[in-house]
Amino acid sequence: MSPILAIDGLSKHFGGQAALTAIDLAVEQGEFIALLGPSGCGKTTLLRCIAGFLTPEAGTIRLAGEDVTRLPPYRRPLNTVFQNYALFPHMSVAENVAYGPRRQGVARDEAARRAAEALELVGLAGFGERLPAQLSGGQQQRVALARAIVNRPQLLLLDEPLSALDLKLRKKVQSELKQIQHRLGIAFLFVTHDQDEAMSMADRIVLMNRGRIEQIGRGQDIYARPATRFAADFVGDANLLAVDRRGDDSVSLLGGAITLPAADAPQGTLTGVLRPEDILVTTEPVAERLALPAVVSEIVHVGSHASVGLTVGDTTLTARLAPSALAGMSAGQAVFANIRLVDISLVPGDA
Amino acid sequence: MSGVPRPVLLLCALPAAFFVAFFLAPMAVVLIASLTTPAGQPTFAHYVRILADTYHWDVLWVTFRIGALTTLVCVLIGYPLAWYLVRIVKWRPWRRFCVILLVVPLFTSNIVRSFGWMVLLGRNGLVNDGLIGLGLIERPMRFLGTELGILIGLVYILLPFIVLAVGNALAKVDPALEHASADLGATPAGTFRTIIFPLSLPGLMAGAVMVFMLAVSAYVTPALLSGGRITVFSMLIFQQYSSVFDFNYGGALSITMLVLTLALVAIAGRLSEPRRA
Repeated sequence: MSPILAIDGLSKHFGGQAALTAIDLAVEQGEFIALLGPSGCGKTTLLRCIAGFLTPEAGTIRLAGEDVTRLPPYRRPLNTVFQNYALFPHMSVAENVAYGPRRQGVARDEAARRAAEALELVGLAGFGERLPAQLSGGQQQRVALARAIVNRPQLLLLDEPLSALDLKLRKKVQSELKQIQHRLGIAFLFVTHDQDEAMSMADRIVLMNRGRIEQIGRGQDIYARPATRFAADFVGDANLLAVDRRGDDSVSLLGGAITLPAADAPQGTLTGVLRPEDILVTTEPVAERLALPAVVSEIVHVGSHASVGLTVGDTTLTARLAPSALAGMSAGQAVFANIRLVDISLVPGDA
Repeated sequence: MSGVPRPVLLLCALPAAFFVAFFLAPMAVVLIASLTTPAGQPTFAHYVRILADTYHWDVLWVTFRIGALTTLVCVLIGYPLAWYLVRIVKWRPWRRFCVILLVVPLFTSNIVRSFGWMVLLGRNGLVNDGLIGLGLIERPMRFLGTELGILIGLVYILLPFIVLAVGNALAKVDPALEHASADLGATPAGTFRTIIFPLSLPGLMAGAVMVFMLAVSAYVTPALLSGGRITVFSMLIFQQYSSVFDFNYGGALSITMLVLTLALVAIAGRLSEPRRA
C-alpha cells in the first residue's frame, strides 16, 4: 500500500526566517498521526502547506501519489477541521455540511442527504436547521468535523480542533474522534501541542521543534527511547542529567556516582534521561538497584501521585511516588534514590 | 421603585432629551402643520392637493429615478473600490492615504464641491476638454441642466458612504471562512458568491440605504447642477418654505417625501433579507 501522504524535503521560509526545514514524512492510509510540538515549532505551517494555503520554497507534497505541491487548496482531495471551526455564520448547520458536496457539483437533494448522514455520524441528527451561533462549542466542533468528512476525503487535517473545549469535554471528544476515524478509515493528521492528547489518540507521533522533525514513532516508543534531548523533555517528564565522557566507551553521571557503557551512544555531548517514575525512594537501600544517598527537598502532591524533589550530591532529581509510598516521609529527611542503569537513556545534546 | 440606579437614569435622560428636542419635536411640528389650515383647523386638504396634482408625481418620479441611479452607480463603483482598499492594498500607508482621499471631501461644504463640478462639467470645462481631446466626442456635451450632471455630482458626494460601509463589512469577514470554503472545493469566484458577498450584504444594504436617502433628499447639488431645468422634490419643498411661505403645504410635501422614502427603503430591506426569519 502506497502512503496517502508523502512529503519530501519540504522547506518554508517567512521573510528569511526558516519556518520548516527539510521535512520528510509519510502517512499511511487510515493512520492517525499527531503533529506534536510547542507553539511556533512549525506544525501549523506544515499543515497549511499540506492544505495548500502556503506554498513551500522547496520539496514536494504528494497525495495518493499525485504531486499537489503547487495546486490551490480547492483542487486538493483533502479536508480540514479548523482551529476555531470556521463555520459559515450565514448558513444553517445542514447548509454548512452540504457545502462541500454542492461545490463538487452534487445535486441539492443528494448533498442534503449526505449532510444529514454526516451529521448523524457525529451525533447531531436533527440539528440541521439551526444556525452555528445557536450551538455550543462542542456542537460546533462536531459540525466542523461533519463538514470536513462529508466528502469522504482520504486525508483529514485537524488544526488543534479541541483546544477551545474544556478538559472534560475534550476527553469525551477525543475518544469519539478516534472512533469516527476508525469507522471511516480516513487518515487523520492531527496538530496538537498537548502531549497527553497526542499520546492517547495517535498511532504515531511526529514530534516537531524549531521547524524540524525531532522524532517519529509510537508514543510509548518516543517516551521509552527519546531520540533527542528535546524529545525526552517534551514528551513526559524527565530528569536530564549532565554527562561526562570518560574515554571512548564509558560515561559518568551525577558527578561520578554512575558509570555507563557508551560504546553505542551518539557522538558529541550527551544528556542522560531518567523518568521520575523510575526512581524508587526508600529509607533503606533496595536490592538489585543502585542506591544513591539523597535528601528530600520538597514534596508536591498532585492527586494521583506525589512529586518528590531529591538532592543527590549537587544535582536535584524529581521522583514520582504513589501517595502510599510517602508514609512518614518529610522534607529534609535522608533517604535512598534507587535506580536501575537500564532506565537511563543517553541522548545527544547538552543537559 | 425601579431597579435602575439613579445615576444611570440621569445619564440616559440627557440623550433622551436631546432626541426629543432635535428629532421628535421638529418632526411633530412639521406633521401637525401638514394636517392643519393656516388658521389651525385640522384638514387633509394639503395631501389631497398633492395626490391630485400630476406635476408632483412627475417631480417625485424624477427624484426617485435620480436617487435609484445614484445608488446603483455608487454600489457598482463603491463595492470594487472597497474591495481594493480592504483586500488588495497590502501596504498600510497607501491604504491610509486612500481612505483619507475618500473622506477629506466630506469635510468640505456641499456647495463648494457642487460649484467645483459646475466648473468641471461646463461647456468649456475640464471634462468636455478632456473628452474632446481624447477624440471621444466632437462637440462639447451638455452636462449642466441634465440628469446626468446631477447624477455625477451626487455619486461623487455620496460614494464615500458606501465605500466605508462595504469596506467595514468586508474587513469583518473572517479569513478562516475563505480558507474553509477553498478547503471544501470552492473556487475563488465560488467563495465570493457563496461566502464573502452574502456576509458583506448587510454592510452594502446599509450603505445603499444611506446613499438613497441622502440622494432623494439632496437639495444643494441638484439645485446647482440642474441650472433650473430639472426640479427635484426637495426644491419644491424649499420653494414652499422660502418663497411661498406656505408652511402647511410645505409640511405636507415633506411628510409625503418621508413616507415614500421610508416605504421604498422598507421594501428594499424586505427583498434583501435572508430567507430565514
